[in-house]
Amino acid sequence: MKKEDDRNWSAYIDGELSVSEVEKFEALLSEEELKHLNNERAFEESIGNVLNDTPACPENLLSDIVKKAVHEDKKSFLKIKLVAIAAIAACIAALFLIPKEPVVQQELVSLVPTSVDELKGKSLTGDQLDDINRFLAEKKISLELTSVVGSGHPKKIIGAGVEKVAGEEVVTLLFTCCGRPAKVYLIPKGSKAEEMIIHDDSGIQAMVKKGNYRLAVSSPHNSESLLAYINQT
Amino acid sequence: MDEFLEQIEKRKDEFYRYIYRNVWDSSVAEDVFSSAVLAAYKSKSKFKSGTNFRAWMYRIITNKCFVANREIGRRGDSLEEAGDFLNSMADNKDYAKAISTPDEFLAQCGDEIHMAMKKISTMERSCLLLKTMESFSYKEIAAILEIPFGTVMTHLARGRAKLRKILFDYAMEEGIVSQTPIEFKKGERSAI
Repeated sequence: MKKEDDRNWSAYIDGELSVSEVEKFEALLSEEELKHLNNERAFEESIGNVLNDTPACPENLLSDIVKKAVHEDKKSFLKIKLVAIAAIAACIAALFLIPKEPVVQQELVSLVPTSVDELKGKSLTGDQLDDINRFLAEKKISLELTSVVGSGHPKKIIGAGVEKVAGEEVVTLLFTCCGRPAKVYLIPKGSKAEEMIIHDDSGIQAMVKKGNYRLAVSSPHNSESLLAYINQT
Repeated sequence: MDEFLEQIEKRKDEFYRYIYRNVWDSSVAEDVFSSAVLAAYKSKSKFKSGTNFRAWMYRIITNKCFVANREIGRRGDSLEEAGDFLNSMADNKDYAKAISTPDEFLAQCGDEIHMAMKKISTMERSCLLLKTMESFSYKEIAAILEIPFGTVMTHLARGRAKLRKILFDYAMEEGIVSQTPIEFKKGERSAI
């Protein structure tokens, strides 16, 4: 057997040769060599299996790294904030102005979902009405979702989840409206989360009070009508 | 946790396994994993949405593995060139017989496969791991390692030939296969 390039056997078992290259290569091989290369392919798969039989990522390793990354992020954000505060303070001092009320620090976090996949990733339940209402009952929330089938924008349930808003856990109902992502926050009245939703420019489209909750919808699409499907039990 | 970190979370075991097999030391692997994730997190704005996140991460991870291997002075053994692999191996009946039952042969070789992986060069090992463990195409491997397509072919063929020779030599020493040594023939225009 003469080969133009001995690298070809390796590319051949990986299926990386073009059709014409395969034809040319196979023409150089005896039947025994061809059989041998098939064995090499199986051997390579077995090697892959052995190599993959490796300990998984240690528990807590990633979560520790994430904490560190987020902490560093906050530190650099804090630096920027301190510089900004210093600049503002200097301006105020220069103008002899004293603020009458302390500035309320707000989280400038967008609550608007960006994709349907993002919402699917956040869902902790199935996508059926019963799944959602069971989840609400488990969370002791005195609200229920009625059918989302109706006239107007076609809507589908994705599921329900939990998110942190102003440091508090808030239950969210996840939908698509005309194929776009939409999220309804079920926020307990009088909570910090409610205060933030009301005062912050976080992309909330519409709000309504129902029982002990304030319902707030956010979506890149007009999905206000979703609020009508959630009612007190 | 943001979307970026969620993507890493989904693939953390895969990334860790690749690193572990590249640096073969759990404490080094944890350091490499940490520095790779932090580096990726810091430069996440450079990742273009819609492009291959997995390949992008492997580029960062592989670079960190190279650095780690260099720092601890690990290089592949200076093995002899593998010569005309296919001619030599296919002609060796004992070798051909051994790999016809690959799982059995590898089981008999025990940890030698891992020892053999340590003996090949970092570049050959990276190409092999990206192909054999992670199933990347040659084109993707070339992009991850930032080397030409043909070089990927060369590293893979050379790394595999060395790996097989090491395993077979071990199998002969241990009496797993018969005592017919492999002598690589020099091909007329061998590229390895």
